Amino acid sequence: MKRFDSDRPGSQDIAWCPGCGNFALRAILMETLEELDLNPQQVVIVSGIGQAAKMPHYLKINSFHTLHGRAIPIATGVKIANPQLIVIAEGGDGDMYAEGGNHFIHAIRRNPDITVIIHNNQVYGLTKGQASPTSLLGMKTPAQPEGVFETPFNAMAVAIALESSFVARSFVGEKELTKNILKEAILNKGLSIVEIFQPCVTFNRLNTYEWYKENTYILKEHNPEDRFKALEIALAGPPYALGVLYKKEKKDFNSYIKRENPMYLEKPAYSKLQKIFEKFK
Amino acid sequence: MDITLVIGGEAGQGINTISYLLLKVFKKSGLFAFSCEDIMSRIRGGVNTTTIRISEKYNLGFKKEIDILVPLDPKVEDWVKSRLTPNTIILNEDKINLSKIKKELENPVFLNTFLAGLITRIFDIDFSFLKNVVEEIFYEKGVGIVEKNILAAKKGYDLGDKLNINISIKKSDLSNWLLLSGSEAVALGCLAGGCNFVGFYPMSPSTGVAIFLASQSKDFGIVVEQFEDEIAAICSAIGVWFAGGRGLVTTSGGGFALMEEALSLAGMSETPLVIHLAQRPGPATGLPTRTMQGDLNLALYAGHGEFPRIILSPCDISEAFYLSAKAFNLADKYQVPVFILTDQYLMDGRFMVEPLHLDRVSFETYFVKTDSSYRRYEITSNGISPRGIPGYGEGIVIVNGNEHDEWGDITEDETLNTIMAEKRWKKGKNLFEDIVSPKFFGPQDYEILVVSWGSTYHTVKETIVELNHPKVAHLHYSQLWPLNLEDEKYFNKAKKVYVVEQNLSGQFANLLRQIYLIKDIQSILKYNGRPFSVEELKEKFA
Repeated sequence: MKRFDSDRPGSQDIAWCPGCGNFALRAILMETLEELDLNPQQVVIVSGIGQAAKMPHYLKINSFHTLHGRAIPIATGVKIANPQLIVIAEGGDGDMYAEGGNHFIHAIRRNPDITVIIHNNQVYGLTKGQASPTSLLGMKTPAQPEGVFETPFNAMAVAIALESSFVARSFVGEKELTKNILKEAILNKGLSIVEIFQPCVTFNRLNTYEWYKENTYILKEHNPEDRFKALEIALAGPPYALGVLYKKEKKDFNSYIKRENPMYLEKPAYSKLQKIFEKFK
Repeated sequence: MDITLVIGGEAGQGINTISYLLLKVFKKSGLFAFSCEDIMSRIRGGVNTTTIRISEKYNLGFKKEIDILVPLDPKVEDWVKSRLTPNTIILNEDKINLSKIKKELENPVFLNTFLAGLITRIFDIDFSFLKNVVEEIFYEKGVGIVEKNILAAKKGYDLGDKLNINISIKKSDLSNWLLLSGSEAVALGCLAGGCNFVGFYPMSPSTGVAIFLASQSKDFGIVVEQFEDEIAAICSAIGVWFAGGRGLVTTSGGGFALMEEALSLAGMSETPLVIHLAQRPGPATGLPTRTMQGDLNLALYAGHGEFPRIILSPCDISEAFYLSAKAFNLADKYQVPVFILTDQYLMDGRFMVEPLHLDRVSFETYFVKTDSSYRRYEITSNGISPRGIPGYGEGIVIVNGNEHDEWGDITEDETLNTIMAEKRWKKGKNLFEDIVSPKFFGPQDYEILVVSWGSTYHTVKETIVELNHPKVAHLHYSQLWPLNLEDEKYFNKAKKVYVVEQNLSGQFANLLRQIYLIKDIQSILKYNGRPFSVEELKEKFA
């Protein structure tokens, strides 16, 4: 059995529709982590809510399955408490960009050393077919019967504008590209944002596997440190560029707060506290 | 001898500084005192007052009637008119020509130390004490500023001499005592409890705890982070506990309202959590800088779904320290959210307290090192599953806000769903092992029982003492949930129960009535953002 494969009873019946992009992503993630020579004990996936967020249950990995939109702040707390863990925040496009939109923006500012994986299928799957922040204009759903009229959220452009440490986009149909991006993202010291296109075979009849194949291209000969070029690429499309769009070396949050060791090893500094009492006399 | 001194002025005039200066002088010279802050929600203008009570008997009740009023602005007298008596000494323009003094001082900013000097003299305290305090407080601003302040203080002292108001209060040795605000006491308690992370969003009157801990972050290594919103603040604290830290989130009612879903996550995932909730009047924005005891119901019932919790409400500085420290051990031991419920009166007030003993505080951790067979939600006899943390041991730690099986994976199996719900609820039974008992004061053969909770303790107790009725006793609660069922013995004995609290609907009275089936229970309420006074309570009980 592979290193990150789970034999737990709750991992056997995978609750994704046949043909779901999540299956491919799961395989990619497992291979990525194993090829990085990581062990399940040292990795934590903090997931939000949705089909994407069920990922950790189908892996042998530490995990916290949290609330819709809240994976990022909880993951930030995990990394603060034990910087030695590899921390991944994972969820769908609604999770990360709608409910979790505020946290998405401010995590870029804060730059914790975590990897954010966004499964972007441009629809809300688990709640059965409403539009998501990335749904294309005009897409008709039961909740938006006249078609979506709100401008889609361009997470890549926002992340680049805010000078995020690492911004990349991929597609589950491009296995090697996605693996390479994920490896680079995990190794990057700072916030790594990886948006991965995947089809929702049940609720999104617009953005199918074929549609993604036709409307994406692999970015070549791009200097990811060129911010304005990166922004130009992010704002363009379809076709949408796949690859590392932007990279900036930035001091990560843990370096600012000067924490390297796990908090569970700490005890209160009673002698220091006694000295503080003296100041209040 | 017991004096209630009130100093008032516009926001920005330095009322807070004068109050702090005076308390330090009083303490150094051996006079027991404490302050209560009446603040407006603005940075300039309006009226802010500080009430300082100086007493020989170490009295801590809030007094309404003013003995000496020092108004720094014409609006003050009208603002405090309900507190004035025919005996109130008002140091207004007739007695001290403030406009002339302001012109004579090199800079109006020195008016604070000038007035401190004046008041120091009125209380018959040697100038050297004030000089020491000024040197200590303004030390960082440089020798020049220190000397100018001492000069101003001396001028005020000399003027105080001419006023011929000599108040002589018996002094005692308070040199070992501490002068702390409620915010500082809670913050120090958290440090003593092993807190190493604070997530917060600024909100009166809870911000002081975070600010104080931020000032200690370099020395103690505690991480203090201001987040983009309250939800991020509580979520980060939950993430911290999950990964082995001891996180605190500090907020007020409105901020906590935003945190409810995350509280529910802590309950379902069985992640420990400590929440400092500093109450102020609501609903909505209410009175941001005033005091209330209106969020008990919020703390009790917040979070959709059902899960056990602990609610502590310190009665004074000493309890603010010890209970805050205890909260962290309780959260770790029982894997439940623990509330430290305070209010603006306690947070912003400054109090003198006997030395705090670190040997009365313990640091107990309950997490385990996992092995390869580890299951986070293992069914145990008492409902508490050993808590593993990721990266510590061979095991895998899976924690979940969905209903789950023993490993932590999602399950909708009917039997498991029943077992897990019961397991979480059963955990609540263990909480009875560690309850903070209520404080009883009074005759054993009482017929009337006066109940109170939180920061009203000393005010109510003083009222009872002064009423000195042979059939009246006082029962004060510092733990509001869970309640010890054996406490029914107190209520069964009483012919009449009064519950004193600062809210509109008698929240604690309702809880007591429900739990102890008390038939005759009457509420004594105050809900205008101001604290109960001894005088007011005496009148209500008369």
